[in-house]
Amino acid sequence: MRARALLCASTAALLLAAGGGCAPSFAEGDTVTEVRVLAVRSEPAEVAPGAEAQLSALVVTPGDGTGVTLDWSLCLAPRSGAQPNPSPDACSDPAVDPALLAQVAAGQGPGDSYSLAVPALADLDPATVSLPDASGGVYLTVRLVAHHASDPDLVALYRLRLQLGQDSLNTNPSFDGVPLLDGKPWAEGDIRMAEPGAKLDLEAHWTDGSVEDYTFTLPDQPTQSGTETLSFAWFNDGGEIDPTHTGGAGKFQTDWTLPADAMPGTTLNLWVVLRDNRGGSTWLSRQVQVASP
Amino acid sequence: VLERGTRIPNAGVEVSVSPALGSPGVAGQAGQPGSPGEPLASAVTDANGRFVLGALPAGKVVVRLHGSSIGRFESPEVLTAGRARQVTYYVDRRLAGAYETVVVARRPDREVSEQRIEQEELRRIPGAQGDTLKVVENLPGVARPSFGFGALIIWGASPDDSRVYIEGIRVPVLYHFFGLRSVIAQDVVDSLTLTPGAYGAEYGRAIGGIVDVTLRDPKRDGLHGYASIDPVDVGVLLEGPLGKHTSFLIAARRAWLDATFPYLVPISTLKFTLGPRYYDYQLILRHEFTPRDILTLLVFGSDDALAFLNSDVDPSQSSKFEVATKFVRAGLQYKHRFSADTELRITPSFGYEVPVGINADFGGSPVNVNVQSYTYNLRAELRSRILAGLKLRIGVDFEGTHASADVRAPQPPREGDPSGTGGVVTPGPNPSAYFTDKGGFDYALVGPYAELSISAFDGRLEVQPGIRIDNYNLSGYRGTPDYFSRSEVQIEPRLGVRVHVTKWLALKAGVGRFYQPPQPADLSRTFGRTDLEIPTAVHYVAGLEADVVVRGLRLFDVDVQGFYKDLRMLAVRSLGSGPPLDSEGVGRAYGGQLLLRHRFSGRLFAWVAYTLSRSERRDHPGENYRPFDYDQTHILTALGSYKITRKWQVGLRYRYVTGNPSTPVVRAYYDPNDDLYRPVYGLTNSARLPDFHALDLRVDRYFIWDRFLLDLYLDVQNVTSHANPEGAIYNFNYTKTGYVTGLPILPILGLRGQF
Repeated sequence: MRARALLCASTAALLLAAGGGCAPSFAEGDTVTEVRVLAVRSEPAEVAPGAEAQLSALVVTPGDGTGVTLDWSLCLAPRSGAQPNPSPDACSDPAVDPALLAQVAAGQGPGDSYSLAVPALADLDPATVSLPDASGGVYLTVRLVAHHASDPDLVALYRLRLQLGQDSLNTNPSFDGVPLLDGKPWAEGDIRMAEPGAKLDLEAHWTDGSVEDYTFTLPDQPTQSGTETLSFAWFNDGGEIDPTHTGGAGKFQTDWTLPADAMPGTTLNLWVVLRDNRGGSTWLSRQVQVASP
Repeated sequence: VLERGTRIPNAGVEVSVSPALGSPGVAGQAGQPGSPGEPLASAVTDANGRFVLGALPAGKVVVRLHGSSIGRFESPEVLTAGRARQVTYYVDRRLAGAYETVVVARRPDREVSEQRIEQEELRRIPGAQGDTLKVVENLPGVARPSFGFGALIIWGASPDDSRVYIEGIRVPVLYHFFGLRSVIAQDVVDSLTLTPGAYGAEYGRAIGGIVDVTLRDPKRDGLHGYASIDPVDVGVLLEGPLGKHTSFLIAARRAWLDATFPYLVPISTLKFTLGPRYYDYQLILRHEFTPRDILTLLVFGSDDALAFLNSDVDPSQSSKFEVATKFVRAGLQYKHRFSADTELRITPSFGYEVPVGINADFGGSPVNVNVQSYTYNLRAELRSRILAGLKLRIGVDFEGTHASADVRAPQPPREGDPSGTGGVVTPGPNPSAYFTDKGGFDYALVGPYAELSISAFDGRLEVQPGIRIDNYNLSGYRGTPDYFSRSEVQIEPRLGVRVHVTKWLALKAGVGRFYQPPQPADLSRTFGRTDLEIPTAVHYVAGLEADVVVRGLRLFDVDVQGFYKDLRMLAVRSLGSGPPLDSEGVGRAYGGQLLLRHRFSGRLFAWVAYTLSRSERRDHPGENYRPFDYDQTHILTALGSYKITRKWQVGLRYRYVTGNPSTPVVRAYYDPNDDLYRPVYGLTNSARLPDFHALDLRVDRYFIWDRFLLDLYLDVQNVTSHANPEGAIYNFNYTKTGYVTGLPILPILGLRGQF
């Protein structure tokens, strides 16, 4: 049975991945060593066809983050067969067919936002809209290309959630105040000093209203309900963060260990992204300056 | 006269009684009973090992036993006047000597491509921990599944395309979770026959191969049984007579991995709430109404389950996973022998199975798969020798199934998917859409068949023409707008030919057309399509069988086969935005295989199996053929087992297999919704994992008492701890790659007590 094959493959992969077999260990993706897109945000987080969405991205490089330009577009490559999303193969191709792209905004800076006029439903080929995901949402694909002189181009494909029908509207989550460093509030613009190799205790929380209950309706199905899952992702450009994600199992703390060989006076960046599982996100950043030991 | 330890009766043993030296015994005339050098009485043991001697004089005597299986044995006895004496002799079976010739007759009416393994060989295969059915992995034409994936891949066919029968009753699986053990206990199996292609008209509905398992009759010479334990499971078996004409066998086994698994997978956040555990059971109840009428009740089943919670600080990595799969089959087998040449077999059977039940949540994305089915089957067959050299086999094979499914899940992986069996371990949840489906499916498959066995020219030519007419009645979604009902008749001719060129050499060839019903999951209106075609194949096989004979001793069997399979109407992912599947897939599998086997003959058995093959698929017209997920160019298995003494036995197995095809990642993009990089794959199966090597060892130490036998064994898999890649794994943004490897050295110490 094919279902049994799925089961066996799952359990085999579980065994292999969980320790039955042996796997090489790779560095986590928390340390930024080249141009990276860390998040994409739409305001509102869920947008009706024919309405406008304000898109922005957290795009970073090690150090000062300069020299990055962004190209934004809507990718209208049709999905095929069982593919859930408009063809990611075509949309992620650096040499994508321009005919598949719409509303290009080229050469923007990483701090800029981009206003996207979402096509009306009547103007959309249904095959360019995703099939419903686990939360009942359907999405358009927004293509973002980050150019940087010293790194290869990086493509990000953001799924912009469409509001269809009367289902609950998603909103972006928000931080509850400011993050904590060693138990004390860490305000924006407050550059903290820390010695090389120091372990910084970090903590962030979301507001009460960030975790939304929602309803959704799938074709031929009764209305269902769900509750959002939120998580924080932590990034830096020097050192190591462990764990790289928090918010699960009631745990919100993580540790940032600065590089032991960091030069005094160096400024290290910390980025924290809060996202929900329906396409909503928000972020903040902080800086630490390496002090003499 | 019984074998020491096992209490197996020794038939055909010559028993004689002579006066002991110095005994006053009766001195007769030379040449008379009781005279020096002459026994007082003699007898030969019957099938139950029993013998009876008449009246003997009182006094000291010597009982001498002599037989080809036991050598010579003597025991002093004291006979008392007027009293009967009952004695049980427990004697060691003799290890075969160089001067012994073991004659193994070839089974008549066998299939052209079949390989058959008998019970004694099944028990001694290294690397199988005594699991009899795992021997199938060592036969030529069978691909090596990935670690933990107990699939049966025969001559390049998908696991879904082959079938397993136990006493003619189909079972859905051969192995428990992870492929660690088969679903039938040790010692219940009498023989295993693998027919990888061009099989006869008796079976159908599989475009791959057939595994046919026969179970042995329960012992009738007394109560027997065993208990076994090793780090994987514990098992018991009990059998014996129930009255004069009835006998029974009952066996059960349960895994206790739920106790040992946390030590094997030491991850603090991973908490098993159930298992992993499995159990299986078998019941055989045999009643002989007359020597011509035998009724056998067969019940066997299997049940696997595991559940875990993974509470990760990263919510996207948190998961809950509950999975269960089980089946039970109950059948009545009635055999009536009209004459020495004509036999009727009728086997009605019923079954229930949960092929898969999953309740899971991966990072907030729930998956629910609840599928169950009821089966009701009838197999009836009449075999008769019509004339000298002409046999007829005629029968009907009916299978009815009612399956119901209630599913909410992403599209399941299929053959050819890079994240499927091909070996890429992709981190994180997939951005898959979720589909739901709920409905019932009914299959009613009626397959009358007939086969002739024609023997001509003093048996030098054997021809087996056969035909099977399978009527496929498929329906689903009754009472809904998506209701469908189809009925198709497929005619499946089969032919096997064998020419005995000499006493030691035979040429053979076979051809046949085969069909199989679409998988029920593929007829889903949301996961497949309801109008899928019925997949079909044509198999061509040709080869030779030879015996290597030295000084009249048959040292080796040689079996060489070439094969070609032409597969059509395979269900594949569709292009475009219509239903997820269509029937445009085609495939071909071709190659050759060699089996060089030294038959079991006391001390040694050994074989070398080598397969050179290519299996390819083409998903859509106009595309190029690509390697099948389990296309393994070279598969070499060499194994042997040697009885050093009665108490020590050692076995070795070496396997070399070409690495499985894999699909390379050509680039990746960032998915901001899930904070993951996602891969973009190159041509399907255009790369390969490194080759697989493994050396396995088994050592048995037997402790033998008259009525009890203890087997302490050490079964070591991957003795050299060779790191065998089972899949590719990548870093977070797919710029670095490495391999997930299978288990390093795995020693398993087990104990088995038998009486």
